[in-house]
Amino acid sequence: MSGCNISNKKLIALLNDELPTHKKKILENHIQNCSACQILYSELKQTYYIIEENRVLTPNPFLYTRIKQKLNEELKTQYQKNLKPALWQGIKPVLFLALLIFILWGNIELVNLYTNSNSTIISNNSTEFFLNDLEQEVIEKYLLKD
Amino acid sequence: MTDKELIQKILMNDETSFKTLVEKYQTMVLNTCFSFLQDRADAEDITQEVFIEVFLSLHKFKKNAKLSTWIYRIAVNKSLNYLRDTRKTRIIKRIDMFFSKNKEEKLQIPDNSDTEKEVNEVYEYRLKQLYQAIDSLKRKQKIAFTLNKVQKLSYEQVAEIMGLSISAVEGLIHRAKINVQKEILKNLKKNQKD
Repeated sequence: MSGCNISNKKLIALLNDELPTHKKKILENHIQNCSACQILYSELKQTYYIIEENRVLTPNPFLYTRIKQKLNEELKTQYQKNLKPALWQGIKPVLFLALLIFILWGNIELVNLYTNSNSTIISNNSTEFFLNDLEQEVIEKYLLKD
Repeated sequence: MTDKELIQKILMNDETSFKTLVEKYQTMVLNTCFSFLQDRADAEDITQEVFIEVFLSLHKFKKNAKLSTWIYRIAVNKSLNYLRDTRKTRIIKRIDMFFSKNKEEKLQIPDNSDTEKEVNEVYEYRLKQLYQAIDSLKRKQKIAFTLNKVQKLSYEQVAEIMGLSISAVEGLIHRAKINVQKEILKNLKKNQKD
């Protein structure tokens, strides 16, 4: 059994022809006499060598049509994705300009409103203005009398 | 038509040139994807994605590079990314298969038999063992081993695709070969014990 364990470790080296001649001969003799190792080596060899077979898949005849369809969908989504930022980029200066005009207009309106309200205040206060011009008696005068 | 001419015409939006390019490289791409994925339907899906990527990023392609190498690189990356992204689903699938299959049927090596059906079963079993072993390799080893042993590309071509030196590729393939054989042997021993 221990002999089998040692030889098992060397099976890969034997398969790859990496053993010195005398060790190779010993292992080959062991494999010939041990049925378990024989099966193991044969299975390893057959499983590994499947790789050497040339398995070539032939593509589906409709592959190009499918690729074209998918590509068109991809291009469409990419176009939509790119369109949004482009639209935004175009709209942005217009919006900014509109906002600027609105602010300017708002300011002008405010100034107008202020000047108009000032003139009405002046006109409303015109009587007060005359009253203010009247000669006022000093309060102390009355106090002194008492 | 040379690859350079094809690229120039595709960049000028010539549809027939793109069709020619697909027809020229479809077998190569499909087989590369299949060697990594081991599933025809998945390989076909990834092949489509590879050509879409080729079309969309052809303007980035360096004119002094080799087109086939570039396409190989895209195919390898797409396949490995797909494997990474579907790892969880594949694990669940395996667990599902483990429970749905008869344990005895799963572990026993099919006996060699003369009938065609059983021969196919044995072959399928060995193929599964082999690709399980390849799947267990590290990323770089897997790429180098698959391109060299399954796709039969030369060391120079593998080195070019992977962007490594030839000696590095040789080392990777050597280690991968030993690891694959170790894994196969491990599974065989395990099955012998069972």
